[in-house]
Amino acid sequence: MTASVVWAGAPTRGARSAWRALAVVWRATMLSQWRQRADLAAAWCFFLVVVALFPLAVGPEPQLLQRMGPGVIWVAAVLATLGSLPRWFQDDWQDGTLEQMVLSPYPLPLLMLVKVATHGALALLPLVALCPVLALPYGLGAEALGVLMAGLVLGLPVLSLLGAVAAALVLGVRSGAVLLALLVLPLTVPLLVLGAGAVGQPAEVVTAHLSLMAAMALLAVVGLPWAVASAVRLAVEG
Amino acid sequence: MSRICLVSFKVVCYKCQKQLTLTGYLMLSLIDVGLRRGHRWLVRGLALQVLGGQTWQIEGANGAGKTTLLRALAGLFPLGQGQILWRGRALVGDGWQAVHQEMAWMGHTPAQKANLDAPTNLTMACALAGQTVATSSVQAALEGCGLGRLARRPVGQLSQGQRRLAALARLALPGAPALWLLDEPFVALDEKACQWLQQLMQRHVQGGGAVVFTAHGHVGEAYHGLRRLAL
Repeated sequence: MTASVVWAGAPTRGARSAWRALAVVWRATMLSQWRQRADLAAAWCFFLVVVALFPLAVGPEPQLLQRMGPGVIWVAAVLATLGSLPRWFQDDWQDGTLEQMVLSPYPLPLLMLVKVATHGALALLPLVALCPVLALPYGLGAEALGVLMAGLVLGLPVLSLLGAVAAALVLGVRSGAVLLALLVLPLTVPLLVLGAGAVGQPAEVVTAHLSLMAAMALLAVVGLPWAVASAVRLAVEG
Repeated sequence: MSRICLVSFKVVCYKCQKQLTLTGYLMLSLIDVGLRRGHRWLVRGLALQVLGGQTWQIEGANGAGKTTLLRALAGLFPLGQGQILWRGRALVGDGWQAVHQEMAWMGHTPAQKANLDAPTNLTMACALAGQTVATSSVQAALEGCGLGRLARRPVGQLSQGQRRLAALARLALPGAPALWLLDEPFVALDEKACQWLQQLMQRHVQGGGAVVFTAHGHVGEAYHGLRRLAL
């Protein structure tokens, strides 16, 4: 019965093993999602096409386009984010990975944060990277582009986390994607107002807007993983 | 070491009225457990002691609540009534964390990413369970269950049985948890794989661990010391 004596005292799991575990989960999720990069590319292309269509529909009026540009890019980014997010949870829910995460001795909110971070790295960063190209048809200058991109970098994590809460809540619901959009879109209003509104404003206004967005991002990173974790528990224990 | 809880108690067999003495390391105790779906009770007033060194098969017809009971044991399904103790302590709130450290759960879906190969999936499963493993032992475990040749392929390309086997290989790794909860582990496995799993389970139980699994028929006729719980 020696073995049971070893088991009887549960192995202590320090902070180092937690980091190693999170790193393994990060790597595996990134690899798995990267191998389905056609789905990722669909979200990037959606963003690209939506933003490119507006100038064609509105007509070649430089001033109008310059005013509209940031707003259009922001709305398209929001929609592209929400489009790509449900799969992040749906697949894991169906194949049982979410169950294993709920049963993990590591804190579920931390695991969820890693999961959402992989979404940020693979689905959202490319959107930000596409912005310089998309600024061309709208005639946005370098400064405006910088503000726009800074706003997106600060705003998209919030969006990703909000979307993750909703995506976890609608797990197993038919037409969950529509419900997800309905749940999250109203919550994106402050981000849109601050992010798109900052472009082309004087420096102090830009600073104020971006600081507010940074504050929201911090709040979201600290608070929302717990909400995601609770929603995932609800879905798994249903 | 405070977790060790060696118990010895007397029970009366309800069939032959003979008195038996059970001794073992206390793991799960179910007291007056009831589970319900909506207004329908699947299980009511269930009492069960799972000691180290025991194998329990939960059997019953389709829809009898086998999987639900197993999920409740893992803390994945809320109890309708009663309580579950782990090593003699009531499980409330964060208490489950302690169980999860010493428990391996295999649901009816194998929890694998279809586009990753078996070693990567195994490493991820172990990392999530807080079990650190060397690459060589992962390879050895996969070879042990006969998947060594296929280890480089994405598991999506493997058959149902091979995928399940690749997930079950986690149990063969060193440092596997003490309590195994397996939902329909023998489904889709061929004869050789069934034998491999049975041997694995028996070795685990002989070492003082415990296994609770669900299955329909009389799996494992040759299994020595199998206890059955009929729902």
